[in-house]
Amino acid sequence: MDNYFNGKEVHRTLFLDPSLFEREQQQVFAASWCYLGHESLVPETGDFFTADIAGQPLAMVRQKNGEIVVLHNRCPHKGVKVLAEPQGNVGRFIRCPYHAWTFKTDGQLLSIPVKKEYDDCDLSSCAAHKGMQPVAAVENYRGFVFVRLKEQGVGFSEFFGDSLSTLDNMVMRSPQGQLRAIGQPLLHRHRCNWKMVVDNQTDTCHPMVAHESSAGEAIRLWKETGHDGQPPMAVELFSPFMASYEFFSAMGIRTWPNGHGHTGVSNSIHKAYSSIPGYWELMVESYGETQAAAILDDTRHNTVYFPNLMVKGPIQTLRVIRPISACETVVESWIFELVGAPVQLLERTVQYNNLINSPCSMVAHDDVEMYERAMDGLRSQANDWVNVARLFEPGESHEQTQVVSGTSERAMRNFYNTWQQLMQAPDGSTAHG
Amino acid sequence: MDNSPLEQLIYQEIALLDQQDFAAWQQLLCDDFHYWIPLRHDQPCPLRESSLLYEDRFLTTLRINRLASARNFSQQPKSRSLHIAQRPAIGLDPDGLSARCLTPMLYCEARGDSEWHYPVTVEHQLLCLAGQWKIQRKKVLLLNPSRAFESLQLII
Repeated sequence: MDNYFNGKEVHRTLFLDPSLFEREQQQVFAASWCYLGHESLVPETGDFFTADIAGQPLAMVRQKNGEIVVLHNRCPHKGVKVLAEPQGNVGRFIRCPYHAWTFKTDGQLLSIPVKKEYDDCDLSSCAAHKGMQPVAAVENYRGFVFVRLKEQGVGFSEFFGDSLSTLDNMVMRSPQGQLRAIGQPLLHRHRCNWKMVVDNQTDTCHPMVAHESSAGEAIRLWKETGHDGQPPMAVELFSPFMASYEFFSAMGIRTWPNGHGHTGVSNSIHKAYSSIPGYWELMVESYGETQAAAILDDTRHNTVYFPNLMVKGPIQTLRVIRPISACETVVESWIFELVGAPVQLLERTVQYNNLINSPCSMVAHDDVEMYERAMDGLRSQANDWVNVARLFEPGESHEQTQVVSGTSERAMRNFYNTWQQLMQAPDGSTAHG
Repeated sequence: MDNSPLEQLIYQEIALLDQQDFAAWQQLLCDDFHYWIPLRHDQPCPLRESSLLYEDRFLTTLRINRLASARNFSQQPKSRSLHIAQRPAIGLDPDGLSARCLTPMLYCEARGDSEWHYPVTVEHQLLCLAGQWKIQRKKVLLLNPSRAFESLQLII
């Protein structure tokens, strides 16, 4: 079987089948531009940050000339993962702790102890001679570092197109046009397939149902405690989850080619946050009144970058949805400081991340319960299909940018359409475009 | 001073939490109670970097109310907890009206077929108000707070 998506439904094996999971690592992840990390994680020469993409260990390393090189994090000798920590500094060169092979910060082999013992083996004919191999396709887009592991494939600009406007907006929310990643990410392990989490990012018909016990209770408790005036930040952050279907419908969804899309075109649950004193003046100083207003008026809710990145510009968070196995996912939630903005913005972002994305988050508990129950329910053989047909339009195509009702499941269909194209492509590299 | 009332407070607290008698547990808290689970060792501040949890009374009350909600699907079935605690190490301040307690514990949470075990050090900041010791701050330091956790739903 290779028709997993029929335009309105997705086959249940997409979420359950371990062999599909192995295939999608190569066909989907290695062929797509995946987010690795933010450049502010490696500010100084020799700084490194490690992460896995498509099941492969990678490290981005800041070079002396300021550029960022992404290396396969594997010693060419015996395969040891050379940089073991999430972050650090390699020093003047990279050194494998097993046999002291050393490499320049760009991965080139520098030295081997007692190298003359390799004189007769023609080491240059061996793969080991290449050192720690760099990833060829790397793009640092305004500080966000993306890689495509397959050497041949779709270009960065072609892959993302206009969807990069969400990252543009997030960067420009800093009066200095600069973001800084703050602290460590929250890591929440879910016993579900990663695509369920991606799917949920543009699902606007679940919050008022699944989050009633958390967001609904927050509103009720605040009313009951009888205070007037400004509600606590937690109530401000929680209560929009209980917005009506009409609200979510009116806010709109935009889809872009290649599986990207976002909720919150004309409005969003991030719109009504209280203003932070002094921020507007700093923005006007940097951008002028018209542009500052345009930047802050664009309050996109969730932007999904195919395959596994979700960005929330107005609250400066992003989630990397890391697939571990067919039935296991770790959601990594990062926060960013808007360089030059009042610190209260960072404090709000911190609260948002704690309240929404932590393994202790009440809101996250609501969501994860649904994913895990879906993993359980989908074992049923009574119905092979998961339905994503809400507001389907006969003859709909995913080749162009579209703006549709905010309760449409079109962004999910757009995602699964790209996923299927990649899975059906002979080597995963020609489906885009 | 005899430290046993402070030890008893810690033992009473974890017993009430494990019984899920949150009404009685809340009687042990100061109005300005804060509950914090840092995301890393030596994290200086809960306000300017992410934490696993940072709650005031309002949020803790919300968490407790949510646990009782009929629409709380992640508590169907319900979770249970068990705190296995060592004897607290108590540092009484010179005025005798405030104290800091460090208690190593194994916190266990179970739901359905799943069970999770978390080695933690719980730091209590206690305050004596009108002759009554209460909990002003509670900081829970997990042995490895930066790793990926599954949902942790009850109160440590």
